Amino acid sequence: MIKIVSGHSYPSGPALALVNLCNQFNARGYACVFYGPDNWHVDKCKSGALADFIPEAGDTIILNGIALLSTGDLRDVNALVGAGGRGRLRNAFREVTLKLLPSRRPRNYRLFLTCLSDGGLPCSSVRLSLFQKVHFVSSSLKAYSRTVYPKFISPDFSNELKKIDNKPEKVAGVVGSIKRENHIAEAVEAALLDGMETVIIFGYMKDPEYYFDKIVPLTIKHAGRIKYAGFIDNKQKMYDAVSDVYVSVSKPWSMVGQECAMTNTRFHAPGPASADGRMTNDQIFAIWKNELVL
Amino acid sequence: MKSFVGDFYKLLNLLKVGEPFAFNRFSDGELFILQDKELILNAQQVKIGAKVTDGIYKDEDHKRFHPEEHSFYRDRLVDAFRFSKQNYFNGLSCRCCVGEENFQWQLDFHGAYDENFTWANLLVNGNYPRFIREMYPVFNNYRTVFVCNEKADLSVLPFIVKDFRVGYNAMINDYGLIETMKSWIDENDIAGHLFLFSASSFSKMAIHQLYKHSDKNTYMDVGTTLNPFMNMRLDRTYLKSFWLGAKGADLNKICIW
Repeated sequence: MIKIVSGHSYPSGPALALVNLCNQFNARGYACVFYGPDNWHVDKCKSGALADFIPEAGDTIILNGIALLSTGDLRDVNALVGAGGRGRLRNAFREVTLKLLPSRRPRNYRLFLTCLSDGGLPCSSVRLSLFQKVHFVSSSLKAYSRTVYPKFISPDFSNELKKIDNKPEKVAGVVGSIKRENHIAEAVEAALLDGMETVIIFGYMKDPEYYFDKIVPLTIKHAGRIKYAGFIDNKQKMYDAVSDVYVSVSKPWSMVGQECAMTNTRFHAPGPASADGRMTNDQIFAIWKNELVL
Repeated sequence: MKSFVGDFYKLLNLLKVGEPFAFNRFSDGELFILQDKELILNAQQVKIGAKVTDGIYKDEDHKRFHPEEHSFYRDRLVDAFRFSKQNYFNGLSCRCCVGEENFQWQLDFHGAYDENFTWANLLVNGNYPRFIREMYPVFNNYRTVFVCNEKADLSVLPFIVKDFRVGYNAMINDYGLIETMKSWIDENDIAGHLFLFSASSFSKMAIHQLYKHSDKNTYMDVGTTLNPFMNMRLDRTYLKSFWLGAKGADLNKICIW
């Protein structure tokens, strides 16, 4: 069985990518379960709680966002994720110690690492020698060029989206998790400067203090023009509600630009578009099938 | 075994699948009214029965309940508290927040154990991050009606299609609004809507009477949970912890039954 195991499964681009990956495997006849610590993913694909994950003989395990240093840790990956920032000194000591010990890949199952964004856990946090290969969603990820290890690139699977005739006018969507690194406030201001009458923010409330510090003052300054919707599962509904989408951080691997093109939504972003080109879901799956030797 | 997190997801799932329900909450303020204690909350004083302390409440939170003068409204609150119907979830003050004696008093006063008992604090404390991150976005799936203080700014909430406003001590001063809302529901054939309430004790009576009147809509008492989006004060500890990063254990508090 294919098991996707992630250190987080709250609504975000990476979690959505893993949901799509899981659904693609199952739809194409490869049994797959997505295990995560949060609740968001459970009704979106064949899923399980992180605590229910057990590595079994014959498994192909795709790991994301978990600082795995030994295969023994997979027996209680929930504790590994739950430990998070607690006992940092002890964790650091353990990390150094484990990295000094010899390691080898597990015999009964295969491990793959997946890196879905620049904001995730760095590859240096895991012991690469445990893994068969590392998957990167794009060659533009910083970790891609730094990783000297068997690796492959495959973009995220895309959602089925369509164009509608009656798009609104001058309604901007700002898409991205609410956190300082995504410069959400700057994207909101850029949209207002461009003459957008309404700006709707679509994103998971990752950093409420940032929202209160940077976004709330904007909602007061531009009273009635800024709205907060949260992370919307229904992408079609999100794109149907806006004429333009603004982001302030360049993420060539992000699906947002492609989804804007699919829905006839104007896309405003810094930096170049995806360097990896656009692929069909069949082409993307063919890469996975080949790299995982399914 | 009742679970604070499990009950949260029970309501979230109902919202996601579009099955109407009512979530009513009886916090400590309502508990004191149910206990027929005089209650005065204002800037000068906090009076609960015979006990008086310094006042901390701003205009919109002013409340005055006198057992003899306002017995009609207390009776309506009792009706709401004892009401039982499919998908009518009755949030009680939990023993970890109001003490064993008051918790048991509620159960005795209700008279019969209801499977739909849940926590008054279901959307706050340890569940508040889940509420903002997982439940709030689902409100976008609904045509939403908001019942709140006249000072609240609702422009940040993209899902609002209609609002009803109340002033201070709304339980008494705005009681007539319940009939107005019933008429609006009937005249406009309102079904499948989500009604959110942030109107103190008024919410309890309105949610009961509206769900009894029309159970084709969902009615939820969201209390102060959406204050940061409404340009209202963050004067609750759980709000300060979540939005301002203030120290406090509320966000880690998983209430017990």
